[in-house]
Amino acid sequence: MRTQNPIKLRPLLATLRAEVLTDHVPEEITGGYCSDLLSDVLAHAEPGVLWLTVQVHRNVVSVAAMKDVAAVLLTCGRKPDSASLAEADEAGIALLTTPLSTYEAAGKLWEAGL
Amino acid sequence: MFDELSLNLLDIGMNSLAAGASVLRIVVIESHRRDWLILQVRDNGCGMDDATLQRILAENSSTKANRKKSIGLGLALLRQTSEMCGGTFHVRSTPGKGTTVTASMRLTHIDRPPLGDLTATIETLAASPTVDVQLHYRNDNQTFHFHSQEAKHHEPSRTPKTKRKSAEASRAA
Amino acid sequence: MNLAELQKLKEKAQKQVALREGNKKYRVVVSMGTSGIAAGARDVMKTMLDEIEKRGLADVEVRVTGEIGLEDVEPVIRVERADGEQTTYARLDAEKARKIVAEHLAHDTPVENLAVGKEKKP
Repeated sequence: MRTQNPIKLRPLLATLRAEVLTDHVPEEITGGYCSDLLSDVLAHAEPGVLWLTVQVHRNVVSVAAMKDVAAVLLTCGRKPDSASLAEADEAGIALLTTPLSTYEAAGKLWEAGL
Repeated sequence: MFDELSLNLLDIGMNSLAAGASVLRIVVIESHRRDWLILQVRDNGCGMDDATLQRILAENSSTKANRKKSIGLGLALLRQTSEMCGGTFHVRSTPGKGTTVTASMRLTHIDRPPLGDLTATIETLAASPTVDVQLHYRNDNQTFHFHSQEAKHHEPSRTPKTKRKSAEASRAA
Repeated sequence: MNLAELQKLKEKAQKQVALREGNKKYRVVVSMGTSGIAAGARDVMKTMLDEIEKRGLADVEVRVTGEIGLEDVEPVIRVERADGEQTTYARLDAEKARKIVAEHLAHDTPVENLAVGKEKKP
């Protein structure tokens, strides 16, 4: 899913109850994608989107970087280990976490106009 | 992860083709009695030394220089699935001899992807005429073996049997 | 695992081997790296093999290759004609693959609206 008009990510963080885990966070996102199957993300995610997943394996960082997604929102309160976090920082991929489920978080993003 | 384990097998098997293997053997053991699924891809390709292997296994394929290349990602994906499903993952490689990738998982683990279309995976790999692609499948009751080069020898031929034998002998010589 | 399904492998392999010998007019190369597989390249490959066999196209061979640098538009195939003409097709699925077999491989008419690149190699 990709919208024509990118929207600012920062103002959404409070609504999403999201915490930024990495050093950097992108200005904008162009859409969202929800999937926990990495090959599905490899096949279908568009660059610049916010990827919502419960997966915290380091492969998430690899796939996110390959697909140039803007940031990954880890749902249901999941957090990556420190090694994955360091790899994300190195690759310039922003990792965020939220206590909301993927369904709830996607709903909030939809309401926000994404 | 892929949604079918047979796609992982294809992905790992493609590494073997890239390594110049002439024999590529895929072993699938499905044991309900022991609650194990074992997947193995073994080739006689160029192999790699230990330092290279460790680098590929440790490497995050997202580093800027090679972010568009999925070298090592295939191994990482299978490893993730094995570990998530209560199993183990090993790669053994010897330069000049070949590489063996072995993954195990609990057959009944709730997150274990299905094997999927193993036939399509073998067919795809066997399209390379220079490689003998072998499948050894076993479950608690049955076994199945397939060799793609054997299919070649059993090809219907107009040559009478005796002549074909001598042709084979000359080819072997 | 269904063993009957595996048994079919043997019959199929024999038929496809018979279609494999000699120099062919067309070579189809399917990109089968991790990204390609994730996007459905195996399904494209299988559809092409089945369709080529069904139509008895003896002058076509199908091969696989690793990534060919078009990871963002997988599944990707390259159709190479013996005279050096190469056509690249991207974002394929089973239906498009069947169309390429029916038009390009069976009737020498490249499917222009699916092609993303064309070049002539000496």
